[in-house]
Amino acid sequence: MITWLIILGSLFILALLVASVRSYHKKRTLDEFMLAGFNIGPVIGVLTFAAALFSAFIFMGMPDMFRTDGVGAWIFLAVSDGGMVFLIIWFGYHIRKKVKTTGFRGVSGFLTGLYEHKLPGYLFFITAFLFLVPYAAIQIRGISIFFSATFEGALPEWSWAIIIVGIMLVYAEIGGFRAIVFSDAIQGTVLLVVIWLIGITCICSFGSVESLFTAVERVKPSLLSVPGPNGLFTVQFLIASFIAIVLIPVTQPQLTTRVVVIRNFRSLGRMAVSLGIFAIVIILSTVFIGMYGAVNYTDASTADFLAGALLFDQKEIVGALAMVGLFAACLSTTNAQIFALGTELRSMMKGSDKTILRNTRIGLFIFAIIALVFSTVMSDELALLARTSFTGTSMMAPVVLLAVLTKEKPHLSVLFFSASGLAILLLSLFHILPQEIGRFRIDFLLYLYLAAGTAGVLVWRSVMKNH
Amino acid sequence: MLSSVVTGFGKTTMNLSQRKSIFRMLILAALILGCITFTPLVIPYGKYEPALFHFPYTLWTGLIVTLLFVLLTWIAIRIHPGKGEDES
Repeated sequence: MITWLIILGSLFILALLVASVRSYHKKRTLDEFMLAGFNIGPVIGVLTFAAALFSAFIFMGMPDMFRTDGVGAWIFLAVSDGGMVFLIIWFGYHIRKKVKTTGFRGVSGFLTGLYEHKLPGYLFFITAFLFLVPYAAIQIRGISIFFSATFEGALPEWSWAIIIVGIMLVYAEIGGFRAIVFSDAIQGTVLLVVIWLIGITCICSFGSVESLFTAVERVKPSLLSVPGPNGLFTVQFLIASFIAIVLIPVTQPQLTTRVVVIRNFRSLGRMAVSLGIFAIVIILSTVFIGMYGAVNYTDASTADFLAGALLFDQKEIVGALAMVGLFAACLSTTNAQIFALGTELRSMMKGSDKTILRNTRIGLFIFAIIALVFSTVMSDELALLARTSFTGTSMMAPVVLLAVLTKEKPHLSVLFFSASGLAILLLSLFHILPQEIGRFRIDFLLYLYLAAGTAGVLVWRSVMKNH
Repeated sequence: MLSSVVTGFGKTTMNLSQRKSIFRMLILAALILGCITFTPLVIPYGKYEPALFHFPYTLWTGLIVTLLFVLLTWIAIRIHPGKGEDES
């Protein structure tokens, strides 16, 4: 496998280098560096959106979720992604229309401009920082644990993390957003191919899909329905997850930016439909990998299951490709998140392009180092941490939606609801507040609170206007 | 209305108000679909029969819901009232 890994790994690094060098122009503008000149086509668009969205979370988190919590994971992610692609059309149209009149350098700056106040921009940036850095860190950690377990003793765990962050920084700093988008496209393609090769191997080892599910029924039938053996997929959990995931294009800046920089609305539409199909195809394969694990790795740890199912049970070339795919997946999401933080920072800066570019690059470096440090103290629950990240940033949905949808200057009072929602969520995550009140999950209640609060602000504004 | 939708795919035979009303209907359909997902029709507790092509119940119903969302999106981009506004 090592030989294949060296060959495929070298090809992958070479592709990244080509993407960086081709994206590098000495005289490029700040918008070209940060936003690829607002000119991303539908094919590259779907691959970069998918790579930024799915990544290591889909590669490692979803098979493990299907293995331990069952088929409800499809409702958790695939159905929610279906809802999300519909929202991309609705929200994408409105934000692109608004951007035409205001310009766009990043969501934080965009909000600052629309509210004519710095608070919304700062609140959005702080939320993005609080929930994107840990999410980036968990991916770095996940992949470094995986690599150090696979190449036992070759390198210490932390050195894998440094290698990942190092590569990411080099090509992001040289090529900018365009290089990231092109590398995302490479990584999205690798991800799709690898995950299906592994999925097919998992089905073939049982002979057919029927035999696979029959074996699961024999081992643990509760995996075949909700709420699953651990009772995770309750209606409340699934509804709260649906809302958090559907709102991703609104509140996760790396994806909002991708909605805005797509060439035109037609390209956005094609991108959305393709993304929906991409999500179905890719998540379907993780069902088979997870069910395979449920039978063959029933009580194994996550690391043992992933190492076995993704590498050692595969043909050497597929195992090597899986390693490259995992590395690519981790790299794409991590750099999308770190670069998004850089974009947000840049959108709030003032000064000459040269100064902003220099400061943004310093910011990118600092964010990457923070993610690297965080990666040493994170837990291993990839899928659930990803969900926490989506839930956290979704608290900003009222602030963004009101700014995008209202014709007049939005009122700052909506900030109170988002900020207090965020504070309550953080306190519950740190177990200072309970995670359930009565029979209700706190995230579920927070969405009701945000919806009621936003509706209240709109009604109040309308009453005041009529007076 | 239905014939307008059918003839309107990819063409500009519908006027703006027709497009707007069909798009609103699609939003309503997406909301209804989202609500149905969380009922026992799609996610019955502890039930995995009847299977379809050997897929357990919640998996194939969930797959259909996801496909329907993608189908709604596909229709939405064809009749969207702002279609063609920002072509460049």
